[in-house]
Amino acid sequence: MEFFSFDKAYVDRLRDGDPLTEQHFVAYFEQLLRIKLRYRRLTSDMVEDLSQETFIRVIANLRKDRGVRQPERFGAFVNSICNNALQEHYRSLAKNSKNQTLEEVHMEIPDKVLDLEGMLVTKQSAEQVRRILVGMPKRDRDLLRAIFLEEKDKDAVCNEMGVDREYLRVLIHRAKDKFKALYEKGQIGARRATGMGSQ
Amino acid sequence: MDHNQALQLQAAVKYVLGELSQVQRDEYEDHYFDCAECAVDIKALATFADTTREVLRHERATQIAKELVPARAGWLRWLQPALVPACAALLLLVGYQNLVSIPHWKGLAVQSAPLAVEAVQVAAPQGLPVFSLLGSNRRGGARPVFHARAGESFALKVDIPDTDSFASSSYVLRLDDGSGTARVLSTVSRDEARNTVFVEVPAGFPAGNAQLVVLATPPPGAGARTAREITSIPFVVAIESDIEHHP
Repeated sequence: MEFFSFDKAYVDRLRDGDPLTEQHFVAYFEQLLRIKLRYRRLTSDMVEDLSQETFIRVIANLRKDRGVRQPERFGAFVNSICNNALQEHYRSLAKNSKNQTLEEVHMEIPDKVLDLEGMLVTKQSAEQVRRILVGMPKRDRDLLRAIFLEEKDKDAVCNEMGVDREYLRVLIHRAKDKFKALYEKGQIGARRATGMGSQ
Repeated sequence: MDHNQALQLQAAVKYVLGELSQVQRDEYEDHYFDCAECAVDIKALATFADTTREVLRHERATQIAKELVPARAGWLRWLQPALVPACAALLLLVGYQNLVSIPHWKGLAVQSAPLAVEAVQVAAPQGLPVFSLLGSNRRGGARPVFHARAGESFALKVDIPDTDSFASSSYVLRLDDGSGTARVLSTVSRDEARNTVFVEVPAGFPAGNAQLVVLATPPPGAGARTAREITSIPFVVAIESDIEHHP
């Protein structure tokens, strides 16, 4: 499979406001930003706000004289802009919570499964997941239910079902591979629609 | 972190399971924003995890609905005093209708029992596009826009706030459109309200401003006779003919 790569021409088109490139830019990074921001347990509103803020800042930066020094590393540039927006958010939180330091506000909840609150669910993805779940042995299905839905402690669940954490990882990895086949098919359709090549 | 290190570490799966240290997480994020292959991988994995959670949640709600419906029928057959709470609920609904004057509620009181059953059935609409109202009521003026397909129903996902001093036995979910027309979508028990609630909006709902209103019904014997609004969540419905659904 061929993957999308960024280059100077892409960054120039984005800076100049080419609509197709803007559409691709948002489509490519929207999910990545949601995943990254939800990982920090931010509310869906805050995820949307910080995503929009990142998009605006990226475009504003491109239109400054110096733009991006390494266009081929445009993705890392977007991530750094998002990190800056995130840091500002944490600072404003720390300012508003007098007794908390920045580290305390920034502190992560350890060992929690990513919960995107249905942000990425579509009819097609639901249908594909149903098919994958139906094809699974009951134990594997129960394992996923306990981890994703009931949010039980992973060690306790694995112990109860007689498997280890590695088994859980491999189970999810394999299920993801099956799901990815359809996912990539959908991405190819989206790329054809926007005329932006492979991602 | 480079691509091989990400693969060796099983970084994508560990990331979704929350098993990376803060340093590894930051390094992996830096990598997947910059590596198209890992970007596709993490998108697929996160979508799989997100969708699995929703599909399992629907299945559980459907299962609960199946278990509840016969139980309720048996209970009504078995116990004559059940008429007492049923009448109390009827009075509350009539009281609310008179007080707030909603034309679409006319006739609702006599249908209160079927309405409750239907509410259980629509608690987990399967295969519908789902739009999330989670957190929307905290936004202070900004309204999410939901793109629904013409002629198709859709579902709303909402959390009922835990600010109900009534200690209500149930909640009514009412949907108002921009013209002021109100539709009762569902009733939800106190137990059901502890989880995220899915409620179906029938096809034909008009485009424009809308708001989901959550009303708490007072418990029997509480003295109060009218349902009380505990939150209203505004949003905008856009009707489009051929679009992707991304709540």
